[in-house]
Amino acid sequence: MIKYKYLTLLLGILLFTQCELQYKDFEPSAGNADFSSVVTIGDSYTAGYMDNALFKQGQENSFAGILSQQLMKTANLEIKAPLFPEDKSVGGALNGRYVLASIGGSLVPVPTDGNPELLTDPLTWINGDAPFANVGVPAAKAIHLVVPEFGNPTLGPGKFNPYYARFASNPGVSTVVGDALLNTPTFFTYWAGIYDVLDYALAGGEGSTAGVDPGDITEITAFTQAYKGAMAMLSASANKGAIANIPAVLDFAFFNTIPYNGLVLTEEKAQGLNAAYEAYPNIQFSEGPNAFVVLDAFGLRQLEANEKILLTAQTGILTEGWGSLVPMPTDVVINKTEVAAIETATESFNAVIEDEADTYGLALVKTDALFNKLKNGFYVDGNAYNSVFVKGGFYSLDGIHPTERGACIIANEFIKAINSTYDASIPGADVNQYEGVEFPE
Amino acid sequence: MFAFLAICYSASAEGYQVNAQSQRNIAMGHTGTGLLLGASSVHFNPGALSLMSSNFEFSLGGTMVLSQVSYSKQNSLYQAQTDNPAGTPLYLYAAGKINDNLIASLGVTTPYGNSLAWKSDWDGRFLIQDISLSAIVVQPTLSYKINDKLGFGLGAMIAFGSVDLNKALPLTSADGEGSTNLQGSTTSVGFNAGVFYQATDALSLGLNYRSKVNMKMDGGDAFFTVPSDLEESFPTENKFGAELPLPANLTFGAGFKVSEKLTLALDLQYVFWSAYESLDFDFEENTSSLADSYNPRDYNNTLIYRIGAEYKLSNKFVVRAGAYYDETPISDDRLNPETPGMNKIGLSTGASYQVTNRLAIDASLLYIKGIEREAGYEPANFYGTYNSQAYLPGIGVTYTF
Repeated sequence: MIKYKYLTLLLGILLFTQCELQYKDFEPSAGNADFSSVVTIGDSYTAGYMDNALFKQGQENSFAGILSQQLMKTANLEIKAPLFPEDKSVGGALNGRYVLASIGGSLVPVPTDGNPELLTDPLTWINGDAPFANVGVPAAKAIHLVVPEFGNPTLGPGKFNPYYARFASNPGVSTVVGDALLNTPTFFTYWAGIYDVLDYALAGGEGSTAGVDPGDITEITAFTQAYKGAMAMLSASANKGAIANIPAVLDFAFFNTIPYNGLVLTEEKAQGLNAAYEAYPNIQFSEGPNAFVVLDAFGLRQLEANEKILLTAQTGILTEGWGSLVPMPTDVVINKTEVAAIETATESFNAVIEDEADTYGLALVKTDALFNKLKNGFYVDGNAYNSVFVKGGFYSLDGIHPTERGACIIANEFIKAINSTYDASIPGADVNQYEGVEFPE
Repeated sequence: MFAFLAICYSASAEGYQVNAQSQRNIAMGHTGTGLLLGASSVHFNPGALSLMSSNFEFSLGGTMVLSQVSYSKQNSLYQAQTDNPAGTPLYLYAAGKINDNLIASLGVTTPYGNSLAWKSDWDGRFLIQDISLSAIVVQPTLSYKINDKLGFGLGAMIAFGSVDLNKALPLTSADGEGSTNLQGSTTSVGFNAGVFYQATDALSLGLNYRSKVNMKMDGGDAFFTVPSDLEESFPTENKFGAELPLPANLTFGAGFKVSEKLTLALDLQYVFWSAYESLDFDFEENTSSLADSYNPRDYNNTLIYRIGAEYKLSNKFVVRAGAYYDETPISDDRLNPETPGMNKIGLSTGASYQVTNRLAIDASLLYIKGIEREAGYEPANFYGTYNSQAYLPGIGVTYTF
């Protein structure tokens, strides 16, 4: 009978051993970094501008907002952002947030009614709540972040940036970097320089390639001085941080949605255009896709493969016949010399940024590599991303700034760089929890 | 026991193989290729059936599969666990002597299946939300006794397979996220052959080969739920074709009678998983947004090591125990949450009670522990640590005369 006892024992062990299902726990840690006071400084990307407007949900889910949420898992901290009120939005042209609408069977981004008063009416401003820890300012260049004029409303509309003026600690006197320092930061992120080239590109490459005015590529000495100045000031307070370099802005969906040869013709139409341009033997059309016609410094000609057309040319192409019978205006085209100027400037700015990362031992986030990878597409957590407008999942409805999911992918690049530089374990953010492009019902 | 058609199966062995084909065998670590354990030899080794001592044997049983899989995302605080429906694989065997040398038999088994349900909003939802995959194999078999020591058997496997899976689509509107449901069924054939050799009074040997069955499906139904403006790109009455191989198995087994009371068993089961190269969905109607889907699997062949023991406590009561080690066929960059494979250890026990001379009740309990594994599915960049465990209590009857 003793055998029965063994059997009962064996069965009992198997039945009542309540084996718990195991998990592998992630232990967040700040490593060598100190996240007790974090500031995030930069432009539209840091601010959370998306769908061509700034609004609360975008602000909270900018790469900086998402990074903050993840940093909070390693430390008890609050990263105060200059949030707009719920359900209000305003874009650079005082438009509202873009939404996708179905028009004539195709999906088109259209602006909603915005809330321009958030920028134009100082009574809505929140200067009394300063300082803020997220000091991202839409469309800010690196040279703007250290000058008080940037937030000076007395200069008049168009001469200052109301997105900064609305939350500046002292509009016209304080600077963006100065406001960040009011938090006595222990850690900072700094991503500036995109608009030092992008502003020129958005204006169709009509500005100076070495200037400091709207529409210019920032002159390299001015860029270097502003960037180094900001780094010196920030590092005096927080000796740890992450800075990001500049992606190739011409890879943004905004410059690649209308291809240089997007003029698709029937045989009949091609012959008609050939007849119209008979006097220009350099201009030739045939059935199928054709290069658009442009009139610029190189004369009346057809675009070449490496030249770019701004997304905003869409309406002109559809309604005015731009690029076929009417030459494309030069300010919606980035021609080959302008392309070269943008590439050269991006390279020199990135050299400065990488130098500064070296000098101060900061984490360097190579966003240029990320955006380069995006061109061929990649998967994150089962979902495919590429640089295609609307469908690609990364770009929001303005073709320049990311969706929440795109912002989360960027935030995870920051987290990787910070973790490896400072031996930290900041948990990655879960991209699928955030929103992509929303389609009409 | 549930209605036969309503059964669903859980991944209780590696890949999508289910090894719960007889209570007596389960109790002994699912050995049996080199043993005479009765009618279940229809599955384990049709060759052994030829040396059956009784004139007729009938065996029927079912197992409850209670399995759980956990996922801890790589470099993240995110964790999830499956909420799998309890699976109930069943088996039925009947064998009868036609004459002294020839035995006819029939087996109905469920050797392949996978039933896994993650929460529909979980992090891996673009890969899989839930899947129910099953194959019922009906196997008419003939066994021939060449002499008192050597027997051979051959059966035709007719497999009835079906699949039903859901995954999310990253297309969102105010109504929520899009999704797709794919379902279909098919029938295919293979064979099961075995030889059995009673080397000495104590030692018996068996070799069994179950062929690959290629489940090729045409005209499966593909359903899509997407925002209304995208419906044109996802045709509503779309069909798909797909192919899933049920891999071949080559098993060598040995039985050793230590005494009148104690028998030991050993099985080495080689599974030809490399047949599973990819899971492709070929849609009848493709659009700019709906391309055929190509999902590499690249499984590797594996070996399962099994040991078991049987002890006759009395004329009426037999107890059994066993263990096995089941290697995963899935490499570190092909681990998909749809079939979250990992090396597994199985521990089993069980007993048979002879109620009358003819009727016995068989029971078994199997505990399977998956060995924690950090890996991912590289084509969709989805990485994490998986853990799993399963309890499989089962009961059956054997009737002999």
